[in-house]
Amino acid sequence: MSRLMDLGLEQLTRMVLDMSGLAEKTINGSLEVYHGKPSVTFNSIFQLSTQLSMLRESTNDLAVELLARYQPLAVDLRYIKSCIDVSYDLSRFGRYAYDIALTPSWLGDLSQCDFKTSIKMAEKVLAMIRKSMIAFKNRDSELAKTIQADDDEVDQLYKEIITSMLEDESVEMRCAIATTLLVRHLERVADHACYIADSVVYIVEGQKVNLE
Amino acid sequence: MTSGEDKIKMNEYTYHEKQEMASPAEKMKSINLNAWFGEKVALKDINLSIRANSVTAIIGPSGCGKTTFIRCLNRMHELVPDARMTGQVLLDGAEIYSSESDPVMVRRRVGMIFQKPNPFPTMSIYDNVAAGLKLTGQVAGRDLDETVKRSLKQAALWDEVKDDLKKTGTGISGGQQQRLCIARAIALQPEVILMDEPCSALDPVATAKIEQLMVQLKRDYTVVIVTHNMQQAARVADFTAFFYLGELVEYGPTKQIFGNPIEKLTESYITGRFG
Repeated sequence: MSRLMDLGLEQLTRMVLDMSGLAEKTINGSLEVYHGKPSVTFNSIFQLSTQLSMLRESTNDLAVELLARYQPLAVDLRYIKSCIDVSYDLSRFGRYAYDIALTPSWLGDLSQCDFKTSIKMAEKVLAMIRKSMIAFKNRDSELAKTIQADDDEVDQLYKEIITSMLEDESVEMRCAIATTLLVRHLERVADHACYIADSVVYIVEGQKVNLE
Repeated sequence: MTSGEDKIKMNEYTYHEKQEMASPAEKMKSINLNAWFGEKVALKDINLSIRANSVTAIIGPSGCGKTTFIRCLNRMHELVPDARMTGQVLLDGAEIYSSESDPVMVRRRVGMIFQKPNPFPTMSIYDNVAAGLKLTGQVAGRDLDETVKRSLKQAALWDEVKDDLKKTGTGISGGQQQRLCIARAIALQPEVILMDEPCSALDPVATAKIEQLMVQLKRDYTVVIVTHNMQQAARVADFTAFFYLGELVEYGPTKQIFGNPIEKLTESYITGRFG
């Protein structure tokens, strides 16, 4: 016989994993909107982002119910606490995606801007999201710990992109602002992927990763 | 393209609500139920509806009337000298205290498990489960073997005793004895199983087994438990009723009673501020 709490824990896991699939889809879609080649509309990004917020509420409701019903301890307690945290990180992905998708409607057509470096950064950030969620799904703290190096690369790219625009006076103002906003949002997304990875380490090892 | 495939059905993610909605039928109901022991009032105007195929927990401090309440649900209260009651109790909509109603039949449909495991001490495990069936002449021969086996399986005891069916019913552990009593009750194919503090004499491991069993049993039966262990109610019950000084203070989905009770008195009790 499995424990009574397990039914709830499985459901909680399903909800967080559903959120992660949705979050990745939302960010992908927002980048398409930003780059002017969307297969989805801005409106659908807004909807997905809203759904992520609602799912976060549901996840937290269930987490609180499990705490109240079963008084979980040790790894169960750490896992439920982490699901609350991770669902917040995933809902933030939705929020940043919304901001990214909003940029063209705010600044106008960006098709003349140079996307090369920002696309490279976006790919790295998407890979970080996937890695953090694979680590979460498999409770793989070793994989989770490798994300710090990815984040360092993303931070480096972020600085390079900003500096290069400062130095290159030929960059159109509209493109400079758009790129700055985009990479800023992407940098924050990467940070939340790191927080998810930190949660994995906390679940598995009970250690809080010291953030800089 | 704003709706359609991107939309998520939110109700897929509310699993306790779903359980509750899946079992809306009312199995039992008390209407203005009052009970006394001599001059002493034990229950005051209890109106409570018990949903089919769910676990309902009755909680409250000692002497609040919770045991008296479930004893009224299968006409056991009237067995106590000097005890009386007024009001109605319905089982599938029919009054169990009507003049046509047979108390023995009511008790067969609404079984009871007691605080202390009470297998028949002189009988084997097999005979404990078979006793009621033999008495009523319902089943015999190979059918009897089958029913005993099925009941022990449903009570999650079969694997532990299948090679010792001739052993005496009191020769097994307390937790096993309690599951034997549950098997004995199930064998008569009741519709409702009442449990009066079924785990209070058991250790935590045996308690966990009985709790898991309660949740399994609700697929086929309606389960009502009395417990002074609030955490137990929180773990197993779909609905919880809080009794205090013979009154029903609050009744609702367990999630609500333990997460966000409406009544101040419930809040004080479950947070350990009195009782």
